[in-house]
Order: sequence, then C-alpha cells, then structure tokens
Amino acid sequence: MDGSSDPEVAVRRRHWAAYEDFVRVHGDSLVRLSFALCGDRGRAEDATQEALTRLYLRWGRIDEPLPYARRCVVNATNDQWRRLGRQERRDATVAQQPVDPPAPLDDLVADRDRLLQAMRRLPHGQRAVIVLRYWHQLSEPETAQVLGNSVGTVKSQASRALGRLREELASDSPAKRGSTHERVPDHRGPAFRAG
Amino acid sequence: MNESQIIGDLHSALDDEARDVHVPPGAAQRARIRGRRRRTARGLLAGVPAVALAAGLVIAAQGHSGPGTRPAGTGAGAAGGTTGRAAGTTTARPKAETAAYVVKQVEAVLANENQYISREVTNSYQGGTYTSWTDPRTGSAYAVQGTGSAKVLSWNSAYFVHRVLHWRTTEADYSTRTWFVSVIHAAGPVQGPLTKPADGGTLTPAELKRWLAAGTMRVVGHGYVNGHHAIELRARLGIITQIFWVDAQTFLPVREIKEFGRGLGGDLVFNDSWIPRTAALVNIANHPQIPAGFTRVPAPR
Repeated sequence: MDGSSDPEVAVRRRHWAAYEDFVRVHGDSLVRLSFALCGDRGRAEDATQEALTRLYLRWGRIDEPLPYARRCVVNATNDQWRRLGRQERRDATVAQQPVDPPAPLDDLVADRDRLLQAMRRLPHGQRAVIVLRYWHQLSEPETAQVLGNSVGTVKSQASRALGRLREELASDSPAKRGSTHERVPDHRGPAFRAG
Repeated sequence: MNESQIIGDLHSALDDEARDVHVPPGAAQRARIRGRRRRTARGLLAGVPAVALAAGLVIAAQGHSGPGTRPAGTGAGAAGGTTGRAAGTTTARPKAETAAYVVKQVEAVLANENQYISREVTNSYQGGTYTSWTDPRTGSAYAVQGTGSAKVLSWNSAYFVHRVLHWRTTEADYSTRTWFVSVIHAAGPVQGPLTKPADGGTLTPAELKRWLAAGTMRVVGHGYVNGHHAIELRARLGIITQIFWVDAQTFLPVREIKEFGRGLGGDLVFNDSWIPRTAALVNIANHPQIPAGFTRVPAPR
C-alpha cells in the first residue's frame, strides 16, 4: 500500500518537517532557557529533551508553539529539580558555592558570579520571570502566557525577585562581607533552608 | 546596585554563560521516538489500567476462589478515594501477607468490580490533572484533563478486529475547539483464546501470573496512601516497575505507580477510587459526547 497518496500521511509529514524546523530554529534558545534556570548543562539538555517530547505530543494542535515550548522547558526544568532528592539538591546547591574562592577574582567576574548565584537561589517562579522578562526580553503578557500566570502575578514576582536580588547582593557585597572566608555560612544558610 | 543595573548585568552574565550551550544533535528525532512511546503507553494506561489490574489479578490467583473478604460498605467507603479508613489491621497478618495471599484477597473483592465505575486521578501528564472514569464491564473510559480553555476530553476503548487488538481514542480539545478520532492497533493477531480487550495492555494476566510464579511480585510493606492504610505490592516488567497499593482492609486498589526506565519519562502515578455505577457515568464512559460547535480534524500522529 502506497501511503504517499494518503492525505493523512501527507499532513503528518508536513507536521514533522515543521517540527524539525522549529527545533532547528529554537532548540538552542530553549536549552539555554533551561540552563539559565538550573545552571547545569546536563540537566538543561535533559529538561529540554523532555520539553521537546511534550511539544511533539501536542504538535499540530497548538497555534503558537514557541510560548508553549518555553512553558514546557520551564516546567520540565522545575520538575527535574523537584525530582532531585533532598540530599542531592542540597549538595548540588552547596557545591555551586565557592567555599574558598580565589582571592584575586576580577571584580566584574565576582559580581557576575554572585548575581547568578543569587538568581538561582530565587524561588522557581521568580527565577523564571526574571529569565523570561529580562533575558529573553518577553513582555509582561508574553511572560504571563508562557508561565500560565496573570500579568499581575508576573509583575509582582518580577518586583519581588529584583528586590530580593538587590538585598542579597547588598548583603553579599565585599564591603559587608569583610573576608571571603565568611561566604561559606552566608551561602550555606539559604541553601540548607531551601533544601 | 539599582534594578536597571541588576537587569543589565544579569543579561550580559547569562549571555556569556549560555553562549556555548546548544541543543544536542538528534533532539527532534529523540523527541519523536519518546513521544510515540509515551502516546502508546498513555493509550494503554488511560483506557484500561484499573481493569487490566483487576482482570490480571483475578487470573493470577487462578484456582483460589477466595472467601470474599470484602467487608460490607466497601464500595461506599472506597468511592470517596480520600476517606480515611479504620486503622489497626495493617500489622495483624504479617505472615499471611505474601503476594499470593494479597492477590487472592484482591481477587475476591474485584469479583464485584462490575458494580463500580473506577475513577483514576493523576497529575503525571503534561496539561493538568487527568481524571478518568472506566467502565469495567466494557473497558471503555472517559477522561478530562485540564480546565477552562485548556481542557481536553477523551474517550478510550479497546476491541478486537480479526483477532487484532485495537485502541480507539476520541479527543475534544477546548483550546482549538476541535476533535478527532484516532485508532491504533497491535502489530499482529492474538494467538490462542481471546481475553477481554482490556487485558491486552501492559498488564496481562499471564504476565502477572508469571511474576507471581517467579517471585517478581512481592509485598514491600505498608503505608498510608490516598486516605487508606494500604499494602504495597511491587513487580517488574522489563524496564517498567509496577507498584500497586491496595487497601489493607478492603483490598481494593487505591494507587498504581509505573516507574519507567531511563529515557522513557517520569513516573506515572494514578490514584484509584471505586464509584457505584450510575446511568450517567456509564453513558459518559462508553459514548463520546463532543461539545457543540467543535470541528473534526485529522488525528495527529
């Protein structure tokens, strides 16, 4: 039986071609979104793979695949994080903290590192808002669409997240820290509470 | 540091950090393979899991007619699904609680499964809470997933055509206001006697019987699950580990967990309850009712 003349087969082929195109065009952006959220390349790749699978299952039945794909990535990254055992999560968080960072760190690099660490200590929802709003530069309604929230929630989460980042960076500034060795309890505290 | 500085720094920091991160080669192809596997698993699981379990366990305990240990009021008590049950019996029979013993009790209680509609609730699927109502007499099921404009309704049934098992899904999607009918079938005809179509999924009675015989199925322990003091049974089929929780008093299944091997996605967790049959439930479980104004489209593959 020649399936090529079957209109359903033709539709499926078109869907598959469009899906492949989508992954080719947006795949890097999606895996980077996951990476920005979790900070781990392997987990980002796994979460993105899961998100692409979910997208595949809905392909052809969604009008706007990119917001849906972003949503899948955000959710899959969060799901994966939740699946980590408490101990592993705690270890992973602690492991990210420089126990004894090299003293002559360039200020710019050090600030950047502190900023990323602080961002990754934010609750998942706030972190997703920050990444989507200020890195992917989505509008508030677009961010709300991706996260399945209201625009009001996006605004309040963005505001809280920025406030918290500012507080953390202020409390973590070299002037207040005094010595780099004091960073250990500073970082372990929130990490253990979060775990 | 003010907010605009934070935003600017964060932007450039993420740009730098993620610059070398790329989607792995073959991701689309892998997604297609996994999606197909998952769709098949979902088709098998969504329509018939409770019945497959029930029928499987009945046959697995073949030869043990069972005294019918289900106490009065089991159905009503189990129907709520989250109603607490009397405790204190979970440690009363430690020696008797082999898998064979528990299966025998489940057999007795599920001899009356046809008087119920089984309801399953899971949050394991993308798209929101998935609730299905299965008619054990036909194996057909109705399911609702999500809410509002993201709601999806589906009807699943299984049947034989020339000894080849077919699964039929009708699905109505509120986000697109469309519906479709999809039919998939097994690779070849069933050899030997035909059992109920609902037995043709992952959990065949023969497999359950083999698990029992080979010691694959075992009683793991006790716990408080879905509002029930329950016994945990565990078995393994290839890359799938199957976990059953049955009420320690009534022996009705209250939770089913499928743990998939690496690469096949997350675990699937189903909470079961047993509802007395009503005409409305029987009707909705067996007959697709497409909402008015929906447009039929080809089934996605």
